[in-house]
Amino acid sequence: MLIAEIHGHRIPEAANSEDYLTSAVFGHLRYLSPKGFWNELFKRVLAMPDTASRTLGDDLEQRGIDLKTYDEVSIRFWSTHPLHGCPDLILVFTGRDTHPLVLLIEAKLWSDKSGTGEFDQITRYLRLLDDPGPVLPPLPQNFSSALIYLTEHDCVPELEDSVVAFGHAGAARCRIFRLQWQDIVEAAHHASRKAAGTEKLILQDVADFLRGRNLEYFRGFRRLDIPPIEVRKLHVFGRTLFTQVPLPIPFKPEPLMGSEGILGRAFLPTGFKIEKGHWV
Amino acid sequence: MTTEDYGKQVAVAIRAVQQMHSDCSRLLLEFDRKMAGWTPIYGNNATRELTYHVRAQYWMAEGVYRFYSHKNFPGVSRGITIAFIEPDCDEPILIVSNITHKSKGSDPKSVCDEWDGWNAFFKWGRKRVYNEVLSFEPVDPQQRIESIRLIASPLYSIKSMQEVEGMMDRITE
Repeated sequence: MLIAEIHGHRIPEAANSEDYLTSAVFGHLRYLSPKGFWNELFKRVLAMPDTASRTLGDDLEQRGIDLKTYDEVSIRFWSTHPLHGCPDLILVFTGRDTHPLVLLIEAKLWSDKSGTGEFDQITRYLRLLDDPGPVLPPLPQNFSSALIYLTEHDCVPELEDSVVAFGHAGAARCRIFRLQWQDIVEAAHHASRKAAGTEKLILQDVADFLRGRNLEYFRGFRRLDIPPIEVRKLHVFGRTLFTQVPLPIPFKPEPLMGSEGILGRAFLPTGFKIEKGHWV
Repeated sequence: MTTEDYGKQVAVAIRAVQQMHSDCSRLLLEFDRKMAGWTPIYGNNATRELTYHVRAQYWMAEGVYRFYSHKNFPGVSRGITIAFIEPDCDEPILIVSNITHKSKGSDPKSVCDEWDGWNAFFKWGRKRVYNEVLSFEPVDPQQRIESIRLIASPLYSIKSMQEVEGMMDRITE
């Protein structure tokens, strides 16, 4: 699906599906090593306001957790817990001489979290991390953890509600982090510069895919190579669209092919250069 | 000019419009971060009054908007309006506005209108200049608005998110 979309073969029904998006993106990211990209990403995973850490990267550092010590990362899609539900993703970082790191990710696309109060989705997943025994597939023992809420929008107000709903506001605030899909583009872009081979290809594909879905940050208005047009108040959206369009002087309104023309047409200035082939 | 040439030029123009919409979408979403603590008044809706009817002058959004309210500032709406199609203008315009409404009702939707930013710049103000803070008490038909501060700029003069954030800073400082 990811490659198909990059090449313009889109399935409209999947466009707003957070499950498809999650599987397309993380289905590729799971082939990456625990270093490189993830380090870049965690620098962009933001902590809640008024906490000691600014990012998950800072938080891990303060906890003495270094991604370099992990040998493997496995990404588990839609694990289940009989009481607390089915989070979209659980990332498990493991290494020989270090405690595992478990990151639970709940992903959203154009929707808010589900549930309120005690059924608040984020609250339930914090409880899942506190009671990991029944999770299937099983999680490792004695892990450090954090919860990441992944959205396309700024989600602080939603998470503030979750912090209150959890009950131990101070503790909850330090365990919840937020990430935007747009940050994955940034992290993939930066990590791909240092990556090589397959990893580089994966990162470029993921970034291209998300850009294609417009899930990247604003970097100014992009401009197409439009042929120069000398426009003088076309008023094309005025009331006289098909009847009295005042065109620039070089324009000569004239129906094409005599009376067979359906739409009003205009001869454009000679400055236009049309060439056969692909349009950029 | 041949039929084919004309069609291709129209296609390029439409692609340019698509691109503009896509960029505007990213701009509006990213502005949420600037407005931390403020809530989008109209949720994920960015436009309205599009016609689906077969009888239409055009099937394009005339503009988009994203307005925010804050529980500590009742009656105040802040936001961005982007005007794509305005007969008096030669190009798309971005308007950043801070509007104080007469009513301080708890439901922002009951005191604000989606097109307040548009009307403030194009209809209610005495001056229409770019990149200058305009501050006035408008005579709006429904007499809902107490005061307005806004700044407008041609859309394609905007080069970064920081510029848009700076516009909001200028009208709220």
